Amino acid sequence: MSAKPVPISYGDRRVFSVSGFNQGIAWYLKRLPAIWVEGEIAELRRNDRWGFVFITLKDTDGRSTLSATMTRQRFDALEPSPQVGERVHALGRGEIWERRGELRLAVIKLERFGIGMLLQQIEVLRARLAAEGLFAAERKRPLPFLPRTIGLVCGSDAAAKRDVIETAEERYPPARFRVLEVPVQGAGAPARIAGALRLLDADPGVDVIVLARGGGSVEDLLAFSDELVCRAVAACSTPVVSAIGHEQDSPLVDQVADVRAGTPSLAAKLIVPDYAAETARLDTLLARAGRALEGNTARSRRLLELLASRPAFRSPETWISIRRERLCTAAEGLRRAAPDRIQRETLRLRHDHERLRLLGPAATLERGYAIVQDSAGAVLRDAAATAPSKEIAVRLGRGGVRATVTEVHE
Amino acid sequence: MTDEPSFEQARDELEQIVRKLEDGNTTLDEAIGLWERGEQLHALCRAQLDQAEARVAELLRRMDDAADKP
Repeated sequence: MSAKPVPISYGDRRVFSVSGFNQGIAWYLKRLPAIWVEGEIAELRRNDRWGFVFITLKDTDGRSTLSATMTRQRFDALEPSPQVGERVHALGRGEIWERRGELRLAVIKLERFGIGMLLQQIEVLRARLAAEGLFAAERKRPLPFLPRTIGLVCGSDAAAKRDVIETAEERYPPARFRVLEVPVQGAGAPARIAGALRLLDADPGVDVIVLARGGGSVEDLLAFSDELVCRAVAACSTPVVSAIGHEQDSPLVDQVADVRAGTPSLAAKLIVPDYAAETARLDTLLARAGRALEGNTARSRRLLELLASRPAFRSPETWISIRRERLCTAAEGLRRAAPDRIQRETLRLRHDHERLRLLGPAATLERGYAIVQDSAGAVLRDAAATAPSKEIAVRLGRGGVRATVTEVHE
Repeated sequence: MTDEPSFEQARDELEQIVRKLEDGNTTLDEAIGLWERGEQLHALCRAQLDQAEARVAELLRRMDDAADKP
Protein backbone atom coordinates (compact mmCIF):
# COMPACT_ATOMS: atom_id res chain seq x y z
CA MET A 1 0.00 0.00 0.00
CA SER A 2 2.80 2.34 0.79
CA ALA A 3 4.89 1.11 -2.07
CA LYS A 4 5.30 3.45 -5.00
CA PRO A 5 2.74 2.43 -7.68
CA VAL A 6 3.86 1.27 -11.07
CA PRO A 7 2.10 2.65 -14.21
CA ILE A 8 1.03 0.70 -17.22
CA SER A 9 2.59 1.85 -20.48
CA TYR A 10 0.44 2.39 -23.59
CA GLY A 11 3.10 3.26 -26.11
CA ASP A 12 4.69 6.40 -24.75
CA ARG A 13 1.69 7.09 -22.37
CA ARG A 14 2.09 5.95 -18.79
CA VAL A 15 -1.23 5.32 -17.13
CA PHE A 16 -2.07 4.73 -13.41
CA SER A 17 -5.00 2.85 -12.09
CA VAL A 18 -7.28 4.73 -9.59
CA SER A 19 -5.81 2.85 -6.71
CA GLY A 20 -2.39 3.40 -8.10
CA PHE A 21 -3.04 7.12 -8.27
CA ASN A 22 -4.35 7.16 -4.70
CA GLN A 23 -1.40 5.11 -3.52
CA GLY A 24 0.92 7.50 -5.26
CA ILE A 25 -0.64 10.53 -3.57
CA ALA A 26 -0.49 8.66 -0.28
CA TRP A 27 3.16 7.95 -0.88
CA TYR A 28 3.87 11.64 -1.51
CA LEU A 29 1.80 12.82 1.45
CA LYS A 30 3.69 10.52 3.81
CA ARG A 31 6.85 12.35 2.96
CA LEU A 32 5.46 15.69 4.12
CA PRO A 33 6.19 16.80 7.72
CA ALA A 34 3.41 17.16 10.32
CA ILE A 35 1.70 20.54 9.96
CA TRP A 36 -0.28 22.75 12.37
CA VAL A 37 -3.73 23.71 11.06
CA GLU A 38 -5.92 26.35 12.69
CA GLY A 39 -9.66 26.02 12.39
CA GLU A 40 -13.01 25.88 14.09
CA ILE A 41 -14.64 22.54 14.85
CA ALA A 42 -17.65 22.53 12.51
CA GLU A 43 -18.67 18.93 13.03
CA LEU A 44 -17.74 16.19 15.44
CA ARG A 45 -18.69 12.53 15.21
CA ARG A 46 -17.63 10.22 17.95
CA ASN A 47 -18.90 6.73 18.70
CA ASP A 48 -17.74 4.27 21.33
CA ARG A 49 -17.63 1.51 18.70
CA TRP A 50 -15.35 3.43 16.36
CA GLY A 51 -11.58 3.56 16.58
CA PHE A 52 -11.54 7.10 15.19
CA VAL A 53 -13.31 10.36 15.82
CA PHE A 54 -14.31 12.26 12.71
CA ILE A 55 -13.91 16.01 12.83
CA THR A 56 -14.69 18.69 10.26
CA LEU A 57 -12.58 21.81 10.57
CA LYS A 58 -13.42 25.06 8.84
CA ASP A 59 -12.08 28.54 8.58
CA THR A 60 -13.97 31.23 10.46
CA ASP A 61 -15.28 32.66 7.19
CA GLY A 62 -16.84 29.23 6.57
CA ARG A 63 -15.67 28.98 2.99
CA SER A 64 -13.17 26.11 3.32
CA THR A 65 -13.54 22.89 5.22
CA LEU A 66 -11.19 20.02 5.97
CA SER A 67 -11.97 16.52 7.16
CA ALA A 68 -9.83 15.30 10.01
CA THR A 69 -9.57 12.11 12.05
CA MET A 70 -8.14 11.45 15.44
CA THR A 71 -7.83 8.15 17.28
CA ARG A 72 -10.63 7.89 19.80
CA GLN A 73 -8.08 7.16 22.50
CA ARG A 74 -6.26 10.47 21.83
CA PHE A 75 -9.48 12.42 21.55
CA ASP A 76 -10.88 11.04 24.84
CA ALA A 77 -7.68 12.01 26.63
CA LEU A 78 -8.45 15.71 25.98
CA GLU A 79 -9.82 17.46 29.07
CA PRO A 80 -12.28 19.09 28.80
CA SER A 81 -13.64 17.37 25.72
CA PRO A 82 -13.54 19.65 22.62
CA GLN A 83 -16.92 20.91 21.46
CA VAL A 84 -18.35 22.03 18.13
CA GLY A 85 -17.71 25.74 17.68
CA GLU A 86 -14.40 25.77 19.49
CA ARG A 87 -11.31 27.04 17.76
CA VAL A 88 -8.38 24.67 17.77
CA HIS A 89 -4.86 24.15 16.55
CA ALA A 90 -4.50 20.66 15.11
CA LEU A 91 -1.13 19.07 14.43
CA GLY A 92 -1.37 16.35 11.80
CA ARG A 93 -0.37 14.91 8.46
CA GLY A 94 -2.30 14.97 5.21
CA GLU A 95 -3.64 11.54 4.53
CA ILE A 96 -5.68 10.09 1.73
CA TRP A 97 -8.44 7.60 2.15
CA GLU A 98 -7.29 5.41 -0.68
CA ARG A 99 -10.62 3.75 -1.50
CA ARG A 100 -12.38 7.06 -2.03
CA GLY A 101 -9.49 9.33 -2.88
CA GLU A 102 -10.53 11.75 -0.15
CA LEU A 103 -8.02 13.89 1.63
CA ARG A 104 -8.10 14.27 5.36
CA LEU A 105 -5.91 15.41 8.19
CA ALA A 106 -4.74 12.69 10.58
CA VAL A 107 -4.56 14.63 13.82
CA ILE A 108 -1.84 13.78 16.35
CA LYS A 109 -2.41 16.71 18.67
CA LEU A 110 -5.40 19.00 19.23
CA GLU A 111 -5.17 22.18 21.31
CA ARG A 112 -7.62 24.94 22.00
CA PHE A 113 -6.58 28.46 21.32
CA GLY A 114 -8.29 31.81 21.78
CA ILE A 115 -11.21 31.57 24.23
CA GLY A 116 -10.96 27.83 24.23
CA MET A 117 -7.42 28.01 25.49
CA LEU A 118 -8.36 30.63 28.07
CA LEU A 119 -11.25 28.53 29.32
CA GLN A 120 -8.95 25.56 29.58
CA GLN A 121 -6.46 27.61 31.60
CA ILE A 122 -9.29 28.70 33.88
CA GLU A 123 -10.25 25.06 34.40
CA VAL A 124 -6.66 24.23 35.33
CA LEU A 125 -6.57 27.14 37.79
CA ARG A 126 -9.98 26.13 39.18
CA ALA A 127 -8.66 22.63 39.90
CA ARG A 128 -5.51 24.03 41.53
CA LEU A 129 -7.39 26.51 43.78
CA ALA A 130 -9.92 23.84 44.70
CA ALA A 131 -7.08 21.51 45.70
CA GLU A 132 -5.69 24.32 47.89
CA GLY A 133 -9.07 24.52 49.60
CA LEU A 134 -9.86 28.10 48.55
CA PHE A 135 -13.43 27.11 47.66
CA ALA A 136 -14.04 25.17 50.87
CA ALA A 137 -17.43 25.74 52.47
CA GLU A 138 -15.86 26.17 55.93
CA ARG A 139 -13.97 29.24 54.69
CA LYS A 140 -17.22 31.04 53.92
CA ARG A 141 -18.09 33.77 56.40
CA PRO A 142 -21.65 34.90 57.06
CA LEU A 143 -22.68 38.36 55.90
CA PRO A 144 -23.41 41.01 58.55
CA PHE A 145 -27.11 41.63 59.14
CA LEU A 146 -26.66 45.37 58.82
CA PRO A 147 -23.33 46.60 57.37
CA ARG A 148 -22.15 50.04 58.48
CA THR A 149 -20.37 50.78 55.20
CA ILE A 150 -20.62 48.65 52.06
CA GLY A 151 -17.43 48.46 50.02
CA LEU A 152 -18.12 48.32 46.28
CA VAL A 153 -15.56 47.47 43.62
CA CYS A 154 -16.82 48.08 40.07
CA GLY A 155 -16.00 49.55 36.71
CA SER A 156 -16.13 53.33 36.32
CA ASP A 157 -19.65 54.62 35.69
CA ALA A 158 -20.86 51.07 35.42
CA ALA A 159 -24.46 49.92 35.22
CA ALA A 160 -23.46 47.31 37.81
CA LYS A 161 -22.63 50.07 40.28
CA ARG A 162 -26.01 51.74 39.72
CA ASP A 163 -27.80 48.41 40.12
CA VAL A 164 -26.17 47.65 43.45
CA ILE A 165 -26.56 51.11 44.96
CA GLU A 166 -30.13 51.74 43.79
CA THR A 167 -31.42 48.34 44.86
CA ALA A 168 -29.71 48.60 48.24
CA GLU A 169 -31.06 52.09 48.94
CA GLU A 170 -34.55 51.07 47.92
CA ARG A 171 -34.49 48.30 50.53
CA TYR A 172 -32.59 50.18 53.16
CA PRO A 173 -32.45 53.99 52.66
CA PRO A 174 -29.59 54.68 55.12
CA ALA A 175 -27.23 52.26 53.28
CA ARG A 176 -23.74 53.78 53.01
CA PHE A 177 -21.22 52.93 50.31
CA ARG A 178 -17.56 53.33 49.71
CA VAL A 179 -17.12 52.87 45.97
CA LEU A 180 -13.81 52.14 44.29
CA GLU A 181 -13.94 52.34 40.51
CA VAL A 182 -11.31 50.31 38.69
CA PRO A 183 -10.76 48.96 35.18
CA VAL A 184 -12.58 45.62 35.11
CA GLN A 185 -11.13 44.29 31.88
CA GLY A 186 -7.83 44.45 30.09
CA ALA A 187 -4.34 43.43 31.08
CA GLY A 188 -4.04 45.65 34.16
CA ALA A 189 -7.52 44.93 35.56
CA PRO A 190 -6.70 42.00 37.89
CA ALA A 191 -4.00 43.93 39.76
CA ARG A 192 -6.28 47.00 40.11
CA ILE A 193 -9.22 44.90 41.33
CA ALA A 194 -7.00 43.09 43.84
CA GLY A 195 -5.64 46.44 45.06
CA ALA A 196 -9.16 47.85 45.56
CA LEU A 197 -10.17 44.73 47.52
CA ARG A 198 -7.17 45.10 49.84
CA LEU A 199 -7.93 48.80 50.36
CA LEU A 200 -11.56 48.13 51.35
CA ASP A 201 -10.59 45.18 53.52
CA ALA A 202 -8.23 47.47 55.44
CA ASP A 203 -11.05 50.00 56.07
CA PRO A 204 -12.44 49.13 59.54
CA GLY A 205 -15.79 50.75 58.74
CA VAL A 206 -16.41 48.45 55.78
CA ASP A 207 -18.39 45.39 56.92
CA VAL A 208 -18.96 43.77 53.54
CA ILE A 209 -17.41 44.08 50.08
CA VAL A 210 -19.30 43.68 46.81
CA LEU A 211 -17.39 42.87 43.65
CA ALA A 212 -19.71 43.87 40.79
CA ARG A 213 -19.48 43.66 37.03
CA GLY A 214 -22.25 43.67 34.45
CA GLY A 215 -22.62 40.98 31.81
CA GLY A 216 -20.13 40.54 29.01
CA SER A 217 -18.40 38.02 26.81
CA VAL A 218 -16.18 35.34 28.24
CA GLU A 219 -13.14 37.48 27.45
CA ASP A 220 -14.73 40.50 29.16
CA LEU A 221 -15.10 38.57 32.43
CA LEU A 222 -11.62 37.04 32.37
CA ALA A 223 -10.26 39.36 35.08
CA PHE A 224 -12.69 37.75 37.53
CA SER A 225 -11.16 34.37 36.93
CA ASP A 226 -7.65 35.71 37.42
CA GLU A 227 -5.55 34.10 40.12
CA LEU A 228 -4.56 37.50 41.51
CA VAL A 229 -8.21 38.49 42.06
CA CYS A 230 -9.14 35.08 43.48
CA ARG A 231 -6.29 35.22 45.99
CA ALA A 232 -7.13 38.82 46.97
CA VAL A 233 -10.72 37.77 47.73
CA ALA A 234 -9.49 34.78 49.72
CA ALA A 235 -7.17 37.05 51.73
CA CYS A 236 -9.98 39.46 52.73
CA SER A 237 -11.07 39.24 56.34
CA THR A 238 -14.21 41.18 55.38
CA PRO A 239 -16.93 39.01 53.79
CA VAL A 240 -16.98 39.37 49.99
CA VAL A 241 -20.03 39.04 47.74
CA SER A 242 -19.35 38.40 44.05
CA ALA A 243 -21.85 39.75 41.55
CA ILE A 244 -20.37 39.14 38.14
CA GLY A 245 -22.26 39.16 34.85
CA HIS A 246 -25.44 37.20 34.48
CA GLU A 247 -26.78 34.23 36.38
CA GLN A 248 -25.23 31.71 33.96
CA ASP A 249 -21.69 33.15 34.14
CA SER A 250 -19.40 31.48 36.59
CA PRO A 251 -16.00 33.12 36.92
CA LEU A 252 -13.64 31.59 39.47
CA VAL A 253 -14.06 34.46 41.89
CA ASP A 254 -17.67 33.31 42.44
CA GLN A 255 -16.31 30.19 44.09
CA VAL A 256 -13.80 32.01 46.29
CA ALA A 257 -16.26 34.69 47.43
CA ASP A 258 -18.15 34.12 50.68
CA VAL A 259 -21.44 34.54 48.88
CA ARG A 260 -22.12 34.38 45.17
CA ALA A 261 -24.86 36.65 43.93
CA GLY A 262 -25.90 35.94 40.35
CA THR A 263 -26.25 39.61 39.45
CA PRO A 264 -25.43 43.02 40.97
CA SER A 265 -29.02 43.66 42.05
CA LEU A 266 -29.21 40.23 43.72
CA ALA A 267 -26.06 41.19 45.64
CA ALA A 268 -27.82 44.31 46.96
CA LYS A 269 -30.64 42.15 48.28
CA LEU A 270 -28.15 39.98 50.12
CA ILE A 271 -26.16 42.74 51.80
CA VAL A 272 -28.92 44.88 53.28
CA PRO A 273 -32.18 43.85 54.90
CA ASP A 274 -35.46 45.10 53.50
CA TYR A 275 -36.18 47.92 55.92
CA ALA A 276 -39.95 47.94 55.40
CA ALA A 277 -40.23 44.15 55.63
CA GLU A 278 -38.05 44.01 58.75
CA THR A 279 -40.03 46.78 60.41
CA ALA A 280 -43.27 44.96 59.68
CA ARG A 281 -41.81 41.72 61.06
CA LEU A 282 -40.65 43.51 64.22
CA ASP A 283 -44.13 45.00 64.69
CA THR A 284 -45.69 41.56 64.37
CA LEU A 285 -43.20 40.13 66.86
CA LEU A 286 -43.82 42.94 69.32
CA ALA A 287 -47.57 42.45 69.07
CA ARG A 288 -47.17 38.72 69.66
CA ALA A 289 -44.85 39.33 72.60
CA GLY A 290 -47.39 41.76 74.06
CA ARG A 291 -50.21 39.23 73.81
CA ALA A 292 -48.03 36.51 75.27
CA LEU A 293 -47.06 38.77 78.15
CA GLU A 294 -50.70 39.63 78.85
CA GLY A 295 -51.63 35.95 78.89
CA ASN A 296 -48.73 35.20 81.18
CA THR A 297 -49.57 37.97 83.61
CA ALA A 298 -53.19 36.88 83.87
CA ARG A 299 -52.13 33.28 84.53
CA SER A 300 -49.61 34.36 87.14
CA ARG A 301 -52.17 36.56 88.85
CA ARG A 302 -54.69 33.70 89.10
CA LEU A 303 -52.02 31.46 90.58
CA LEU A 304 -51.04 34.11 93.09
CA GLU A 305 -54.64 34.67 94.14
CA LEU A 306 -55.08 30.95 94.61
CA LEU A 307 -52.03 30.83 96.84
CA ALA A 308 -53.08 33.91 98.79
CA SER A 309 -56.45 32.35 99.58
CA ARG A 310 -54.84 29.37 101.33
CA PRO A 311 -55.26 29.52 105.19
CA ALA A 312 -51.54 29.78 105.76
CA PHE A 313 -51.48 33.04 103.80
CA ARG A 314 -54.80 34.45 104.86
CA SER A 315 -53.77 34.28 108.53
CA PRO A 316 -50.03 34.01 108.77
CA GLU A 317 -50.23 33.83 112.59
CA THR A 318 -51.66 30.28 112.36
CA TRP A 319 -48.49 28.70 111.12
CA ILE A 320 -46.55 30.57 113.77
CA SER A 321 -48.87 29.45 116.52
CA ILE A 322 -48.68 25.84 115.31
CA ARG A 323 -44.93 25.98 115.67
CA ARG A 324 -45.15 27.71 119.03
CA GLU A 325 -47.43 24.97 120.33
CA ARG A 326 -45.06 22.31 119.17
CA LEU A 327 -42.19 24.09 120.87
CA CYS A 328 -44.14 24.34 124.13
CA THR A 329 -44.93 20.62 124.05
CA ALA A 330 -41.27 19.86 123.52
CA ALA A 331 -40.22 22.19 126.33
CA GLU A 332 -42.74 20.64 128.68
CA GLY A 333 -41.51 17.20 127.80
CA LEU A 334 -38.00 18.34 128.53
CA ARG A 335 -38.99 19.83 131.88
CA ARG A 336 -40.82 16.73 132.94
CA ALA A 337 -38.08 14.36 131.83
CA ALA A 338 -35.63 15.08 134.64
CA PRO A 339 -38.08 15.13 137.59
CA ASP A 340 -39.81 12.05 136.22
CA ARG A 341 -36.57 10.20 136.06
CA ILE A 342 -35.64 11.27 139.58
CA GLN A 343 -39.03 10.19 140.84
CA ARG A 344 -38.70 6.82 139.12
CA GLU A 345 -35.26 6.28 140.58
CA THR A 346 -36.45 7.36 144.04
CA LEU A 347 -39.31 4.85 143.93
CA ARG A 348 -37.02 2.12 142.77
CA LEU A 349 -34.47 2.95 145.44
CA ARG A 350 -37.16 3.02 148.12
CA HIS A 351 -38.40 -0.36 146.97
CA ASP A 352 -34.85 -1.79 147.03
CA HIS A 353 -34.27 -0.35 150.48
CA GLU A 354 -37.49 -1.78 151.87
CA ARG A 355 -36.50 -5.23 150.69
CA LEU A 356 -33.07 -4.72 152.21
CA ARG A 357 -34.61 -3.76 155.53
CA LEU A 358 -36.96 -6.76 155.51
CA LEU A 359 -34.06 -9.12 154.93
CA GLY A 360 -31.74 -7.39 157.35
CA PRO A 361 -31.74 -7.57 161.13
CA ALA A 362 -33.15 -4.09 161.57
CA ALA A 363 -36.53 -5.22 162.96
CA THR A 364 -34.85 -7.57 165.49
CA LEU A 365 -32.47 -4.86 166.54
CA GLU A 366 -35.45 -2.47 166.95
CA ARG A 367 -36.79 -4.81 169.59
CA GLY A 368 -33.62 -4.39 171.73
CA TYR A 369 -31.38 -7.13 170.45
CA ALA A 370 -27.83 -6.30 169.44
CA ILE A 371 -25.21 -7.84 167.19
CA VAL A 372 -21.67 -8.05 168.50
CA GLN A 373 -18.73 -8.38 166.16
CA ASP A 374 -15.06 -8.76 166.80
CA SER A 375 -12.47 -6.40 165.34
CA ALA A 376 -12.34 -8.50 162.15
CA GLY A 377 -16.11 -8.12 161.70
CA ALA A 378 -17.00 -11.74 162.62
CA VAL A 379 -20.23 -12.10 164.61
CA LEU A 380 -19.65 -13.21 168.22
CA ARG A 381 -21.86 -16.11 169.28
CA ASP A 382 -19.61 -17.54 172.04
CA ALA A 383 -17.97 -15.62 174.93
CA ALA A 384 -14.94 -17.88 174.56
CA ALA A 385 -14.33 -16.35 171.15
CA THR A 386 -13.15 -13.14 172.81
CA ALA A 387 -11.02 -12.16 175.77
CA PRO A 388 -10.64 -9.24 178.19
CA SER A 389 -9.23 -6.03 176.68
CA LYS A 390 -10.30 -7.04 173.13
CA GLU A 391 -12.10 -4.51 170.94
CA ILE A 392 -15.68 -5.36 169.97
CA ALA A 393 -18.37 -3.60 167.91
CA VAL A 394 -21.98 -3.61 169.07
CA ARG A 395 -24.69 -2.91 166.48
CA LEU A 396 -27.93 -1.55 167.91
CA GLY A 397 -31.38 -0.70 166.48
CA ARG A 398 -30.09 2.77 165.75
CA GLY A 399 -26.31 3.15 165.38
CA GLY A 400 -23.69 1.18 167.25
CA VAL A 401 -20.90 1.40 169.78
CA ARG A 402 -17.28 0.28 170.01
CA ALA A 403 -16.32 -1.23 173.37
CA THR A 404 -13.53 -3.04 175.15
CA VAL A 405 -14.12 -6.42 176.85
CA THR A 406 -13.48 -6.21 180.61
CA GLU A 407 -14.65 -9.64 181.65
CA VAL A 408 -15.59 -12.93 180.06
CA HIS A 409 -18.14 -15.44 181.50
CA GLU A 410 -17.92 -18.96 180.14
CA MET B 1 -13.99 0.74 141.01
CA THR B 2 -13.48 4.35 142.14
CA ASP B 3 -14.27 5.46 145.67
CA GLU B 4 -17.47 7.15 144.55
CA PRO B 5 -19.44 4.78 142.27
CA SER B 6 -21.95 6.32 139.85
CA PHE B 7 -25.61 6.30 140.79
CA GLU B 8 -26.34 3.44 138.40
CA GLN B 9 -23.39 1.36 139.62
CA ALA B 10 -24.43 1.89 143.23
CA ARG B 11 -28.07 1.06 142.52
CA ASP B 12 -27.15 -2.09 140.54
CA GLU B 13 -24.89 -3.26 143.37
CA LEU B 14 -27.65 -2.60 145.89
CA GLU B 15 -30.08 -4.71 143.86
CA GLN B 16 -27.49 -7.52 143.60
CA ILE B 17 -27.11 -7.48 147.38
CA VAL B 18 -30.88 -7.65 147.87
CA ARG B 19 -31.10 -10.66 145.51
CA LYS B 20 -28.22 -12.40 147.33
CA LEU B 21 -29.87 -11.91 150.74
CA GLU B 22 -33.23 -13.17 149.34
CA ASP B 23 -31.52 -16.36 148.13
CA GLY B 24 -30.66 -17.11 151.78
CA ASN B 25 -27.51 -19.02 150.89
CA THR B 26 -25.26 -16.68 152.78
CA THR B 27 -23.75 -17.17 156.20
CA LEU B 28 -24.84 -14.78 158.89
CA ASP B 29 -21.45 -13.06 158.89
CA GLU B 30 -21.73 -12.51 155.12
CA ALA B 31 -25.32 -11.36 155.44
CA ILE B 32 -24.44 -8.78 158.04
CA GLY B 33 -21.59 -7.49 155.80
CA LEU B 34 -23.87 -7.38 152.74
CA TRP B 35 -26.58 -5.62 154.66
CA GLU B 36 -24.16 -3.03 155.95
CA ARG B 37 -22.86 -2.44 152.39
CA GLY B 38 -26.46 -2.21 151.16
CA GLU B 39 -27.32 0.47 153.69
CA GLN B 40 -24.22 2.34 152.65
CA LEU B 41 -25.16 2.13 148.93
CA HIS B 42 -28.69 3.22 149.70
CA ALA B 43 -27.43 6.32 151.50
CA LEU B 44 -25.15 7.04 148.55
CA CYS B 45 -27.97 6.77 145.99
CA ARG B 46 -30.29 8.80 148.14
CA ALA B 47 -27.74 11.62 148.42
CA GLN B 48 -27.18 11.63 144.65
CA LEU B 49 -30.90 11.71 143.91
CA ASP B 50 -31.39 14.57 146.39
CA GLN B 51 -28.58 16.43 144.71
CA ALA B 52 -30.01 15.88 141.21
CA GLU B 53 -33.46 16.94 142.35
CA ALA B 54 -32.09 20.15 143.82
CA ARG B 55 -30.27 20.98 140.54
CA VAL B 56 -33.31 20.32 138.40
CA ALA B 57 -35.48 22.44 140.66
CA GLU B 58 -32.94 25.26 140.43
CA LEU B 59 -32.81 25.05 136.61
CA LEU B 60 -36.58 25.03 136.26
CA ARG B 61 -36.87 28.03 138.54
CA ARG B 62 -34.33 29.93 136.39
CA MET B 63 -36.14 28.98 133.18
CA ASP B 64 -39.43 30.22 134.55
CA ASP B 65 -37.80 33.49 135.60
CA ALA B 66 -36.45 33.94 132.06
CA ALA B 67 -39.85 33.16 130.54
CA ASP B 68 -41.62 35.65 132.80
CA LYS B 69 -39.19 38.46 132.11
CA PRO B 70 -40.07 39.65 128.51
